[in-house]
Amino acid sequence: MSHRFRFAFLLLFLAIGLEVVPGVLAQSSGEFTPPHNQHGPASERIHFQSFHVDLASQSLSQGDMDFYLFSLKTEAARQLKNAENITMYEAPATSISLVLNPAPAPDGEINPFSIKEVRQALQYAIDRRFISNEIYKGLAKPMVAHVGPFDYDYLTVYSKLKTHDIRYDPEFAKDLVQKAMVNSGATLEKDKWQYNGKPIQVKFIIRVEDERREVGDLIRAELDKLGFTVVPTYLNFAPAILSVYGTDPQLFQWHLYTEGWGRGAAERFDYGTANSMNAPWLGNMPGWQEIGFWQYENPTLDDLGKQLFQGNFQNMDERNGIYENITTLALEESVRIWLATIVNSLPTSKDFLGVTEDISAGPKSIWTLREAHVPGKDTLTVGNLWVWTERTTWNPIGGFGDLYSTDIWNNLHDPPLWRDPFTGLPIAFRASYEVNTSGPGNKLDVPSNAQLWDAKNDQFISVGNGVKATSKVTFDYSLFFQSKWHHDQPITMADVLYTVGQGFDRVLDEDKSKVEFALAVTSKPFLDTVRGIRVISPNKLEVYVDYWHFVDDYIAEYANMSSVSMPWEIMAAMDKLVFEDRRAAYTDTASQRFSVPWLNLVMSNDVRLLRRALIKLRDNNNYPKDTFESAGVSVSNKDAFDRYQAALDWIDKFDMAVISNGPFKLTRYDPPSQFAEIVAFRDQTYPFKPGDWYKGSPPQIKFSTVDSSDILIGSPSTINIKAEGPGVINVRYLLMDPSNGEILANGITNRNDTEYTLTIPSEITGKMVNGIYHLFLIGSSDKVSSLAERRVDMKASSTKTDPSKTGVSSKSESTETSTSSKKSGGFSCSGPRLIPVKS
Amino acid sequence: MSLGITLTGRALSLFGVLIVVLFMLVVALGATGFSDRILGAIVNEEMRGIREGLAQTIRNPDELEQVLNTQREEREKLYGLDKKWHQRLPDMLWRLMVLDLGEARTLRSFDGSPKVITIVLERLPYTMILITTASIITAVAGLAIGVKLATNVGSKIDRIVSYMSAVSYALPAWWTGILLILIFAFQLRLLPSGGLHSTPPPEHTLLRLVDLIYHAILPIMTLVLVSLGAWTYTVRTMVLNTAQEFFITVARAKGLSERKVTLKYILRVAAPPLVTNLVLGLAASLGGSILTETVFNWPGMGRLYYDAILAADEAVIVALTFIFALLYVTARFVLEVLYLILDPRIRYS
Repeated sequence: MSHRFRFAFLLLFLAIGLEVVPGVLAQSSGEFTPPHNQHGPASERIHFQSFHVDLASQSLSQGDMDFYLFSLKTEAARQLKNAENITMYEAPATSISLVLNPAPAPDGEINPFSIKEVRQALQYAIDRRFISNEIYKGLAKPMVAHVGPFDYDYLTVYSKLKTHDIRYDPEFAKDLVQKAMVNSGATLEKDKWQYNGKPIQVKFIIRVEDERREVGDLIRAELDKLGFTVVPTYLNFAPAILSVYGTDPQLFQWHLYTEGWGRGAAERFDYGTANSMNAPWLGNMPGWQEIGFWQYENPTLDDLGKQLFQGNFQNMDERNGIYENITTLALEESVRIWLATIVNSLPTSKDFLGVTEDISAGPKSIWTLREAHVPGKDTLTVGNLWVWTERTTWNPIGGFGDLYSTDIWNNLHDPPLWRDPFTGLPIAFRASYEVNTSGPGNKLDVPSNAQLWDAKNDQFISVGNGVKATSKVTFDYSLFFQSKWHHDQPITMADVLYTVGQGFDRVLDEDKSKVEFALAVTSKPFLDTVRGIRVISPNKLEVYVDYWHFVDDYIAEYANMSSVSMPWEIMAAMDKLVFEDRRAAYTDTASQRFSVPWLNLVMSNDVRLLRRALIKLRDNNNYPKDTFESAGVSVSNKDAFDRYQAALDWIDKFDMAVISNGPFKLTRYDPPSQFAEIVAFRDQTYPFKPGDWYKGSPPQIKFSTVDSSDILIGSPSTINIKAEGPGVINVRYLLMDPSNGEILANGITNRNDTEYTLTIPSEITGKMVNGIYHLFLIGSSDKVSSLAERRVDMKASSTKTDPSKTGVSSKSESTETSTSSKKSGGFSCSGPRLIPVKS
Repeated sequence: MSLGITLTGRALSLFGVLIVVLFMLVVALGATGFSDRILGAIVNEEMRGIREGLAQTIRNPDELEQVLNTQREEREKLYGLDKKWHQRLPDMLWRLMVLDLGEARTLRSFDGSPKVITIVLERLPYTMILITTASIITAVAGLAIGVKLATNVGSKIDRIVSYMSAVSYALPAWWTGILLILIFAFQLRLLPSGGLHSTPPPEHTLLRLVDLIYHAILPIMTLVLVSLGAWTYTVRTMVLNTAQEFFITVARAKGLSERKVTLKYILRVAAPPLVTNLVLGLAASLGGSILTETVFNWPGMGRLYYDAILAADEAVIVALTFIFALLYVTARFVLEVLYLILDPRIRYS
């Protein structure tokens, strides 16, 4: 659950610049040589084993494992980084922030953080550079907003962030606090603020499990300098969340808290994080939308957030405008102060090849273990913090109880769509798709023979005439249907249709929806937007939905109704157990309510139940024939019998019911030993081979030259830039007067292949005075979500100078930021979504 | 008053202790609001994750809010927050009194069962292999060395072992564990660094057992190393105190052999406090050791208790507290009986 972290000072970026990351890629796509040409994954077998995080680096160095899937602690990572037999992969997977309690104090008291100006002052009182470079030893990057240099939307808000001129300036912070506190009636006695004769105390909850303890101490010292009497409380996770998220802000159990955030999948166009981290309506701002608690309110942020959330915009520009406004307003409010993006360090042995680095998760993604191999070894050992936990559940409907199980499961199934590891955009994985849309303003006609679910008769029925939908997505499942499930049965349209029908039935069948209530209410809003489905050929399914996005791939992702992750007979047997026999439940809540097990496909007890259900279905020749036939798909009695029998044979062999279609099959799962084994699926019909999934490291955008002369005041000035990188690169610029933070010019450079020019017109240079000006360049690409940033210091003077005599380089002073990973000191930067997982 | 009545009285008073412990636990969890608040906070945390997940498919804020409210109600029911503490916790207590340990809310056994008894019975053998074995080794070795030292007071070996005992007593178990892992697992490569089994774990039962014992060596060494000093010194002191009693001098004056004096006169008299240590130590060993089990990745009772607290799984917390309290009062009762056997001077009246 969970896992939180971010923010950074803008001018700090300017002052520091971000480190130039050379983007040394040990394995670029071109260099990768698949170890063999067989169907399936690169390695024959992978053992998952639990290793304690404090011993992981030793175990790896000793060769006890090949890859550790859990992030090392900062010090261990730093020590291991230069080890000869280790490759360290880095992923910006967490962020830290400081949440302030803005609740008004009772009469006669004062809460300094209820004053906006005091909250804003804190932005200037925190040395984010120190946090990143010293506390996190360079394994972090400063942040000032919920988007940072690793998010694609950083580009969206770039100029706004620069305009805010946030920097480490304790004197400025002190001035701001001084004015605000005096205006509020507080007095400064012996360098400490007092109100009504009492010192103003702030309760600071500091997490102790990681570097947030040192971060907290740093902030505590700054608060002390600002004149606040700080009462620190050092807590670990449970008591900390109990105090912060479990109490009414107006009870003042806390005034500040060092939050941490896990970062989810890469998101090119964010809508969730901006809402979650800024807009009160989504329940992640003080008050947490808990009934009876005081609530932080901001209707403007709520309105903007909801517009972004619902997709209430006509195009990307409008969306970006909304996004900018949210970010700006959130900075002004400063209820949550962002500190840094933290790099997770995931080590492998030096010989471990085939790594694809997801732009947010690094090597810990669906791509890596499919291609992973060590020359000369057919079995890899992959370490993780746990393989099994007391909450582990493998359930394809209700979900997995922990992330460690997902790390295994991701190698067992092929999803129809997945996120591109470099752009964060949805892409075809094993299904292909075509999108037609009339959105946002118009509608498409849904063919009258398209179908929806009839829960009374358990079959699909025609939608009839006059139905309209915003978009249509045609999915082609050829790569699935040419192949087999792990138990040697062919994958067919029946598998897709069963899961589609099952999804509808859980919502529309009143009895079922009462049993799995949580699933029903959760699925209903989505299913309400589905206007029809239609099987148009043996391999193709059309899905009509009321959904629009300016990027078609997002529409396809939304319309994807079947994960095709398990054969229909396993799904049918589970449905029987849950809804007919009432011997198990899909969710933990239903499990508790009906005192039945939370169905777990890797646990013997539950698998025995499932086995009995399969036998009954087989012996009674009971299968969802009407469901299939109503959609035009034929499944014979023999087909059904063969399916049931194959599933039973599988269960008898492995004592588990995890049957899927991916490159590996699960063959052993041993909770007491914290061990799992997956073995290559080498079926000749399996469509993928080593090399098909390999993406390597994200390509980098790089400014190779920035050629500019000094600016002659009153004359136009031209800057020539050469940028290299994948796809079409755009270079935006921003010219700023560092003396007052004023933005003088802002726009997109003219592109001619890889060369870019920008001309600062005489109207602008005419306003300049003698001195240094900062030109910020930021490069972006359609092929990767990482950005490249460079600051060029340009000298403006009223007389033309000879560069060779002035000592000022004609290629002005510059600092560059880019993003990559691997033993480089830098790391991938992209648009991962911040997700509220426990951290 | 007969012995039977006396012991019955003792048993009843110990049962009273058990009830008081459980009552205090319920008060600490319930009446203070701790349980409600921690469970509420867990629900809040889970809702944050659920909200993010649902936001992927439900893009209408009003619908999202409705669904979230429903989800929250479901989560609250899951954690028992739909009932007041004075309804749910006494229920648990009553079930315990009739020896029904109930079901865990969130924790599961290795085979997926939520039954607390299954979870406990699964973990107990692992703890016994580790902690109880270590306790027995410590007791036996401590007794042998302690007696030897007590009969050679002031000797070079006595001085050396006494210093070593102090060092042993001062060693933190977790630190010693890590040190031994570094030496024996990573430097010498003689023993595994942790876990129950090798990778891959043997499938044959006998091989599996041998592998388990192989993995237990290092943690047992750790536990023995950190507890042997205290045991040895305790035994030495108690035996020494007894050996200096007048009746021992008389025994020796009567010409009894030193072996007979040691076994029959010194040890028998020193036995009650030593047996107290031993029995209470053995009972406590069944509760596991959180730190050692964590360092060695050993799924015993200590880790279970810790996980139950982290997950605020009231049913498991209450059941484990009941079990530990029961073990304690049982051990106390056993001691009452043993005192009578071991020390003829003790008579209940």
